[in-house]
Amino acid sequence: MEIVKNVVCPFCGTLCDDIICKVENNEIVGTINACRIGHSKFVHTEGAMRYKKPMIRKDGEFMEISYDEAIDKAAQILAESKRPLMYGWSCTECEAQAVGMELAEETKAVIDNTASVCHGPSVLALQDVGYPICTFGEVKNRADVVVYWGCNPMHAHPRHLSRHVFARGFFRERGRPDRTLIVVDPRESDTAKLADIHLQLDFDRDYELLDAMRAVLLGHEIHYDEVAGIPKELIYEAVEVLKKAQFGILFFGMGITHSRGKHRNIDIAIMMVEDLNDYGKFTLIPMRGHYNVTGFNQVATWQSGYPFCVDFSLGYPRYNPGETGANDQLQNKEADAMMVIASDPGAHFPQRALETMAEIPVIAIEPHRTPTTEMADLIIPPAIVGMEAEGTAYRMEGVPIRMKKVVDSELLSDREILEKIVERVKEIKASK
Amino acid sequence: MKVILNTGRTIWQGQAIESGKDLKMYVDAAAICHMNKDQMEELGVNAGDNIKVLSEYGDVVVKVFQTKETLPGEMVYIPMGPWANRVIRPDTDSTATPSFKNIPVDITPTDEEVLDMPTLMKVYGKFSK
Repeated sequence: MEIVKNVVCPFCGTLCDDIICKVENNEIVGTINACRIGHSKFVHTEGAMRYKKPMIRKDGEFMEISYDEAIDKAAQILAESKRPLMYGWSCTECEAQAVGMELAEETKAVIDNTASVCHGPSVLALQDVGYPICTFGEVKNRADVVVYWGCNPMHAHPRHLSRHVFARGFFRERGRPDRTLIVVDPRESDTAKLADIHLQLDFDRDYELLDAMRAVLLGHEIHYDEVAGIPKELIYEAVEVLKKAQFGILFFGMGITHSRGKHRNIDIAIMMVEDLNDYGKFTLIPMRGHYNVTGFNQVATWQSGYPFCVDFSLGYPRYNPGETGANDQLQNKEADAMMVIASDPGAHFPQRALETMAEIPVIAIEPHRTPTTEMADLIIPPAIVGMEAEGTAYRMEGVPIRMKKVVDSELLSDREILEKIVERVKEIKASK
Repeated sequence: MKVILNTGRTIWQGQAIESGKDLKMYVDAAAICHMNKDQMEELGVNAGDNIKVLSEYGDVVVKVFQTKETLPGEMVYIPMGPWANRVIRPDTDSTATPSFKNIPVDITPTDEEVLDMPTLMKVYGKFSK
């Protein structure tokens, strides 16, 4: 058995870089340090379908075809459609994402990533009011107050607390006892159970609570017994903890981006963090989901000026979330073809978007059988980045980390597939 | 019974999506509705019973699961996935992001079966077989 050390986990935005993989006969058979979810990604589960050959749907049934045929078919669909949508990008590496931006420009497509069903509202908010961010290293070594707002890392980012709250740091030598943990969640989540202060707010009332906390911070009194279901005494107590922080960090997730108010909730959360910098150092980090969702926003911004929801239909990049998001394109029935890569909208888009996916050709660059491949006309299986292919990914707070290749694969990587599609699209266009 | 539907990650759902969305593990992890014990008593259901969840936007059948993470009185929780997404509010409110959380729904006990993933996706009618 071969042991491969310092492997980076290709599951969530925590991007744990201390995984040890046990390899036998070019297959990962075990892991050390990975969480339950990361381990499941590294190790094949008996019975799960892994596509090894490209496939095309004929009369509803899949038929194997060659990579060349699949790439030609994909290029034909994209070159012939009027308003193609290219969606996903968050489970692949930045170099592939950069080729994706070229393909979108070449085909005058709308290109969008999973941020638009995740931290899209956070992106809109940081464009509104700013982005006082720091790195994980600063959190581990300095943070004495940690806030998780609308997120449940015990389930979604399972090693997040052990790396940033329980971990010992340079200025926090005892780890957990040196930090105050505040969790804001309407549920008694497994993360909330670990909190020193649990603000169990009424659902959809994040904005009101943040507004009240800002008011207290700015020296005002609360004239009600409770706000958002939280007794005012507890609000005063929580604000006092935040004010006294030497180094505070606000982690926030879908509980606040998906609730009523969406980006306006994040606007006021960021403004509260800015206010808190009048007292001590306070920063924030969005709890990004896919391991390289952040990377796509970086790549798209370098190349087009916009982080997601980029529309190339006019020949230059345009950005209008609400019109040029993947859900907007599908729900408004604008998209007439869709290419999905490194994500699963079949599982994670609402019913109204899937109704359009059922009406248009869908290309899936996807290694496994998923709800998306159930709706796909063409499947092109790639080597999996972080296991079978290397590349760069951005951790949730924007630190780039090189993903390792642990085992060999005969399959093309996402980047190679996309490069071939770009080349073929150019040939088709030149021939017209 | 009228309740508010919350959706999101559970570690079991995360494990299932990475193990294989074509496995029974996925149905067991994501086609379930977390409820408090008193809510289950009020609706007259036990863990493992099927319920139909109906919203303004669609319906879906899932299994009742007694939650270990206590919910506010009026709230139930279905892990994110194609079952929950049958009933969530699709509107993006001009932000590009649908409304995955806090959806008013009506839940009732049912004898209808929970659909596995491939059967559920056929509801959208793309491929007849």
